[in-house]
Amino acid sequence: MPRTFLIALLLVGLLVCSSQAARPKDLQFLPVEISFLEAKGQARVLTGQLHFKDTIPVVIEGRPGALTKDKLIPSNINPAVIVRQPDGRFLLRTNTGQVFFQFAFDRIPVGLESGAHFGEAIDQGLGIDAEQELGAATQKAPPPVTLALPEKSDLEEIKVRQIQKMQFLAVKGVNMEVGGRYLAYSKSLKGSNGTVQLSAATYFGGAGDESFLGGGFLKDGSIVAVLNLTQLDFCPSPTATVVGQDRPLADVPLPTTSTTRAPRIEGGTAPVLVKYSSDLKKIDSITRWAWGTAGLSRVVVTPDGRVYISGMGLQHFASLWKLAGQARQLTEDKTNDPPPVGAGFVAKLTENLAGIEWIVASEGGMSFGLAAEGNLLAMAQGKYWWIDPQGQVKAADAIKTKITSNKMGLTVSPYDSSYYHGGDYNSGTGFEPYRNPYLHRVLPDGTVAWTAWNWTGPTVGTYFRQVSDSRAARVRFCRDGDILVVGWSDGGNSVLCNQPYDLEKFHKLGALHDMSAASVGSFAHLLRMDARTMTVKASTMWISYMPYASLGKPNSGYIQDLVELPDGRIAMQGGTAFATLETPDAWVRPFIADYRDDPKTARPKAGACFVMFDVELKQIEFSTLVPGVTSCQLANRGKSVLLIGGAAGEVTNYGTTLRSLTRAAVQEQFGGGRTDAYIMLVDTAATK
Amino acid sequence: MCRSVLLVLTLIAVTLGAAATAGPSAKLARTITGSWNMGQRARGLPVLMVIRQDDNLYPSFWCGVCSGDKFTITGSENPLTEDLEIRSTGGFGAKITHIPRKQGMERQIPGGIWTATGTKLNVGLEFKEFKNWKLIAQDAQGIKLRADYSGEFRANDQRAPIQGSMDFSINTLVANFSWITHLTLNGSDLGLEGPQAGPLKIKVRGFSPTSRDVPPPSGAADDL
Repeated sequence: MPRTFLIALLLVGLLVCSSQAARPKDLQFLPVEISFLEAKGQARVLTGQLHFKDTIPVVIEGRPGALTKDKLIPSNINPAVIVRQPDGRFLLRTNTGQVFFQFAFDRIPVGLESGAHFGEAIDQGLGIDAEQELGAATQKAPPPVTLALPEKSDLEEIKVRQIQKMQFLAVKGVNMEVGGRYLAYSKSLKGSNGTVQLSAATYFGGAGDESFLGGGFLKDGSIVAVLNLTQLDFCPSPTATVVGQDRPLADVPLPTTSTTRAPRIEGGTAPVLVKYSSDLKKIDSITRWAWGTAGLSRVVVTPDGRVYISGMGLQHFASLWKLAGQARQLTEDKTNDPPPVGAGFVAKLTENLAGIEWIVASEGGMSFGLAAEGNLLAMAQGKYWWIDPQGQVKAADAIKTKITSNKMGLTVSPYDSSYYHGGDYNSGTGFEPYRNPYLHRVLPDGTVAWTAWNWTGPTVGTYFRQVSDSRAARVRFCRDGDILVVGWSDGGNSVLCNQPYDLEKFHKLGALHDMSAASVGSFAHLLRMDARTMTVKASTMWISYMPYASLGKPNSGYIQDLVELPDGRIAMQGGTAFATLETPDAWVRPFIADYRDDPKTARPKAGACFVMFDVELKQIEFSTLVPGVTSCQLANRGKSVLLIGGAAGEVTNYGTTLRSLTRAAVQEQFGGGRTDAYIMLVDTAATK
Repeated sequence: MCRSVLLVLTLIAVTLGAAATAGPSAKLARTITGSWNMGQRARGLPVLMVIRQDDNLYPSFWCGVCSGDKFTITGSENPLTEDLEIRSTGGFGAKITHIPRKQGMERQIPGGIWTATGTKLNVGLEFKEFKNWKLIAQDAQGIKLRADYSGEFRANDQRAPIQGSMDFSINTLVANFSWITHLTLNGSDLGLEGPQAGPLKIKVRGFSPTSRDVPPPSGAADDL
């Protein structure tokens, strides 16, 4: 008898220990008021705590999804309410907009708060383990969500099909009012005091999906923007000058482009060049190549106003071949023959944009970048080629050291002709970071000057904790020989925060760098590096913060393009996932203005933005939303900046609908489709 | 039942008796005593070597594994002075197996040209003998010891003798130790030329595999 008692005691002890060990620290609960229909059709409301582990599993458009806790804590900007829809789905309304879903379970067990661990025990599958060990039949997985009530109820469970509404209630100790770092930054940003002004902004598009590929300032100060189109009916005036002759399209299939980022090109596509007046308030002329001649992928306007384009030749490309002042293929034995459909090309346009000074083409695609002294560095057939301003081609020296392939497009310095290979790679070591950034600088003679980062997983993962996945995304150039590197990381502990050659040395931190409490996201880094030594001289991140007094963790941001102004300031186009940090002089009424009027109703906004940093990247001098802007490039001349890309006309972000900005517009109204081409002229020194 | 009670009482008496005869350093001596098979694979790349040079912006980072056979640290309490006495047998090495590639900078980062041998890279250090052991700190994180060593640095077919002191941190929770040493060598002794021929400031650190092996008590054979 004593022995039996001891064994029983031991088993109880073991059970207690094991259940405590299995108790998850991350089990969550939220107070909720559930409205549901009883079996007899009577409405009933219960208030209790909804218990779950990490997230509430749901199905969104047939795919597994999850509702996270921060979406379900109500505040003045977050309704946190789930309502059944006539079609049977549920609608969750949160600060981040709304989502339709179905729960990934069919019932919610009901218990007492005092026994709130019942859900936890079920969740841990302790019962299942015991039954499986005893050879019982496979048991259905337990519901992942349970409802704990303060008083005993006659209910054992609520069927999901009975639920009409779930209103989540405030959580004691969690302050979801607007606050934290978001509010602190919003209050501290002073703005440019009217120095940065929107001069003009206009659409260019019809019912289709249009977007400018690029553009810039011409020699006389006028502005050119270039795009691919399949029709131009939406812009009857001025009449387009046609380069080549329009012909009927034959049914010739186009080659599949290898990169998913390539613009969609149809058989009847043609490049269109829109020349605006220097104040962007008038279209001076439109030049169109004959339909079906080419689809463009890149446009570069040089500082002296010459326009270079590259793209893919379509079925009527050969008809342009003879119009060009000079045309050649890179293939030695077919130098003067027109290339086949799908060949890549680089072309220089005449100064009036209505002609082609020269074309260089190659089977298999071409890319190019602007090098020093007006030369181009082109890549075709896996080799590099120099093309001089007169169109003369010369094979470039091969890269002398084996380096990692380029993942960020051909990036050439217009100041010293060096070029850069960058990206990230997975070292496959099983150690974080799984994605390792690298950047190689290659001198014009093919010598690799330096390699930045390129630390692999085991090097960083063992002794250094900068284990966030990271990437070198793109490079831009400053006049003094510095380079601007855009980086990406999925967390705050990134090797991008170190000098790229030294894991034990952090570089200077700039305007935004507080990444404490960050969880996984998508964060942008901006580094000003000495191109000669790769030393980071200045840096900042572009992020935002969740706008709550509690849970105000860093939130995702991205950088699309950058340009350095003559005074050293940096203009940036990017965006944030939520709660963009805006300056008081933003072009769209900023959060802080609403907050000063009424803190209870002020809602942070988000989306694409235009930002100005100081030379040292320590100050956000100006920040504004540019609603609906997509795929943008920046160009600069003097104190003027062009933002060239597409715009969606109207965009709803986190419950706030904003229209794309127009001012002194040639085309005031959005033409339809997903985007119109869009161009904006910014005066960055309006009061200077 | 009575037999069980007697057994428990005996065990308590033995424990109390042992405690009564042990001095203040006995527990510490027991804690630091252990044997580690340094050739046993530990997680990841437990060795990190960083080489720096004055006037050279770029350091070089090297990773690898510990090597060697059994390395034993033995602590004991001097029965007369009750002081802690530490000695060791054996040594261990650090074998470089990995260097993050810095293409184009092989002649700029210290020792970069050693990597020209590719997969035949043979860079490492041997710490052959440790002496003059000292206790330098003891806190909640563990116990810190210091010892002088002599050994050799090899860089492909070049060899250079090394001497210095190494700090050990005995981690009592996971039964391993970490080690770190700083040394200075002339690059010319390791086949380096030009700007790299001068002094190289080398930091090497690592951690041992875990081990629960405990060597026989000091002097146990004599007692028999």
